[in-house]
Amino acid sequence: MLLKIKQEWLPLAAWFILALPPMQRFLEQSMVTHMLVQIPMLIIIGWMIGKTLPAEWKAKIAPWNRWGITGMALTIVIMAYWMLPRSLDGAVSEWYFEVLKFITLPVMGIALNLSWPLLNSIARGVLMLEFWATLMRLGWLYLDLPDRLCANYLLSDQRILGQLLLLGGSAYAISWTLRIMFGTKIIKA
Amino acid sequence: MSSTAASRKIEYSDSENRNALIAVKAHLIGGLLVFLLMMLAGFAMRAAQGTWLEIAVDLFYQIMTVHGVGVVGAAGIASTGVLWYFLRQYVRLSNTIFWVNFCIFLTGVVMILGSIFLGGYGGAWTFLYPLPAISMGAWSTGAAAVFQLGLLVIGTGFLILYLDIGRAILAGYGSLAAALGLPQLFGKVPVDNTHPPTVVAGTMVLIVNFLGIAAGAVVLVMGLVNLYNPEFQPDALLMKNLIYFFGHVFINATIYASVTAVYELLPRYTGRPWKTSKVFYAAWFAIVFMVMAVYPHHLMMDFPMPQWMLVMGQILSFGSGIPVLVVTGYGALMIVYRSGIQWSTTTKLLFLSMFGWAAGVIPAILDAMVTINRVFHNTMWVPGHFHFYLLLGLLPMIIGFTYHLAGEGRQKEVKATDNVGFYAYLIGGFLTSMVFLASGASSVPRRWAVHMDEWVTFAQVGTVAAALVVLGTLLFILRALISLPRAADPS
Amino acid sequence: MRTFLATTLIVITGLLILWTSTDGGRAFTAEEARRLDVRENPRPVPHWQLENQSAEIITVNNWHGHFIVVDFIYTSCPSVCLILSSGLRTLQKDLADKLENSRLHLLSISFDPEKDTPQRLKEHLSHFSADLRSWTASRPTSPSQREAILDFFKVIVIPDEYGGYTHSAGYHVIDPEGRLVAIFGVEQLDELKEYLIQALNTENAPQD
Repeated sequence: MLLKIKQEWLPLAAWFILALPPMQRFLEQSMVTHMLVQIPMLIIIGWMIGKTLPAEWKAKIAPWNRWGITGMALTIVIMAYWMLPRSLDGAVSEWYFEVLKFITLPVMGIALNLSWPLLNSIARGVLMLEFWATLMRLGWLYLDLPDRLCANYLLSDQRILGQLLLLGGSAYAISWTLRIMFGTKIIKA
Repeated sequence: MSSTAASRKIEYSDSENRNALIAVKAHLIGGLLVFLLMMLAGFAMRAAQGTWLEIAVDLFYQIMTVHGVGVVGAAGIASTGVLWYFLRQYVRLSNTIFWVNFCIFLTGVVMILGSIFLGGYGGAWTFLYPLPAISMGAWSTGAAAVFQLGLLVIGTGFLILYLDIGRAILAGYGSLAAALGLPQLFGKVPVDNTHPPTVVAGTMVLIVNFLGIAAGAVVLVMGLVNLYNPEFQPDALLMKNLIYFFGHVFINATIYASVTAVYELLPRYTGRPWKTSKVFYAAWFAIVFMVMAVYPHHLMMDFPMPQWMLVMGQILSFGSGIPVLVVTGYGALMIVYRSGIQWSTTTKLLFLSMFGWAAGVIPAILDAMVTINRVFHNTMWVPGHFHFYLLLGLLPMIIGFTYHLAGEGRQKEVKATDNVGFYAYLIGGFLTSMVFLASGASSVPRRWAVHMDEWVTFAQVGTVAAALVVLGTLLFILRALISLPRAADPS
Repeated sequence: MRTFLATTLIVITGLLILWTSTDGGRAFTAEEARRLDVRENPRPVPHWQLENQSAEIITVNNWHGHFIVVDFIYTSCPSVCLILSSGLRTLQKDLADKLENSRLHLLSISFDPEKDTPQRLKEHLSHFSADLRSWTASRPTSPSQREAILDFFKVIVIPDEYGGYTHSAGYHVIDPEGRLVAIFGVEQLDELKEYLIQALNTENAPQD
């Protein structure tokens, strides 16, 4: 019983830890940790909250979210918003952007958790591929742009992030290839 | 596991089958009509080069762009129709997704046509960076962007279709490796002669095109970013590599998709089954990599290219023809030899395609030799190389399949018009390619709107040849339009 | 149906949000936003007290009635400030007549007041053969003032890995009424010149 409660509170605890000002400053001081640690963590926290949502809530949301379409639309909007360099700069400079980030990203995680399993497998494939392509495009962009995208971050930071994105994208592609080429049944008829 | 899945054909409901047949016909008719229009465009360009027709230079480049992108698109959509028709008999494919791709394709076509003829985009279908951004006033940034967006849209449609094919193959065979027959090739499981060649070909096309389009999706967006943010200047050579990887793989895959018609139809007309074997699997496994790695033979004059890539481009171009050709060409000969086959337009076209594919390797290999490429690079030799493949290899497969679907197999005699069409097409197609090759050998450059006096004769012979191709295709298409819509499924 | 409604709502509001938060697809980065913002909403520049290279207290108001071109620097800067300052030198040369007619003034503001003493500022100016009548270098008089100035111009300064700073670089134009009216990037020197010539000429026009 105790263990169960603990598990449910875990994401909230993690959220508070991330929201602690020293932690915030530490993770946001570099573009790399901001985009590859803090933001994904916030989304994962949302995902975990989504997992532990009471069944009756989920039942109420379900008719508004058939095939997971609504949730995915929300996810894409939120993700697109936080991909704007302006928004990221805003989150560093202005407190209200930061609050917005700490709310919308977990919401995105929840939406993703509720919607992804409902989504048509083809749509999932398209989105995963688009996600991969975005990693590669952004990585390339960050490496090649002569100027900084974010006023709060160094050019060298942007370059490192670009390399990491390309690396991550390649790893993602390779693992996918291996699974599909040689994997056992991963998709049911 | 794979053997049980292979030996049993997928059952669909009658309405599903009817709907699927309509969809395949729509792909074929759509593709063939575009082919015909593009041949007319090609005819017009040759006539303009031969001084028989006045075309403004900017219009010439617009026509050249639409000719390139149109043929690639038509080849893509028609060959997909062929592959899908046969593949759905072995794995459960979705009609809806097939239609979705078709509709997305049409949307992309409208965008591209708009960008070319309304926006004036004439930077060739290869949208080679940074050309789309530096039109010197010939077209707007918007036109170049819509063109690339149109390609992106079409690519997305095909991705959706390939995802469905991938899902179906994984559901039926567990992994792409199993569908390619790799466990049989490497002796993990006993060889199963009834493993359908169509599944092997379909899996190969799926793999290469998926990767090709994925690269395209990246490079197209990078091009768009550059159009609107000129500060971002990606490495031009990397862009060119990705573009050629995408384009070359896509157009190559059309022929590998269409060859399923040979695998499926020749056995029906000869009564001998097409048996898969270790050699067959090995050939197709090799071709997965070769198709993706041969494109550098179009980049041999890009001196900064890493040397190993160019060497690889030459070696693989030498090798790439061999595996499938030996297997397919030899297999086709063996199936036909002394089988008492009844020669109909379908079988004649399929057989012609084997010749076109086999002989098409020769100009390709010559072009891929570094020493020859120094002289032939960007001459008419290159159009000669791909017109040979497409006119004599790919199109006969597609038209042959169309004839089969139109119910020609049930008729006793070959109609005279079909015969005229066949020979006009054969002679015209052969001549078109040979004139291109001859021009290339005489160092006539490609992509020139206006030709020097010395080259005009070539262009004029080319115009006559193109007229023959148009005539043959017109007869084929009239026939297809008349009998295809009402024809029942021959299988 | 409810899904359809909810999705449409989300997509439409989402697009609206993205549209407004990029100023209608015109500004994706904070730098672009800052430039667009001053163009559309010129703001009066407060009269901060600055200390110039001769250790005198000045304010922007000293050059009321002038166009002022402001750049932000620190004198030990090895990179972009050098480009900015040599840009100002180009202006000083090409627009000499305007500067002499007291129509235009150049102002460099240091955001590293601890290191950049008046002495250092003077050296900086001499590196660029500045004409001290028309080009002033200065530093804020207190840390809070430094913050206020950077905040007003939305100039972001971050320490880099070599002990210096990376910062928003640009030419900030203050009009004769003392409003910040335009920002040009380092690479836009020609546009800046064009802008100034045109602005000064239209200013003159009624008087002629």
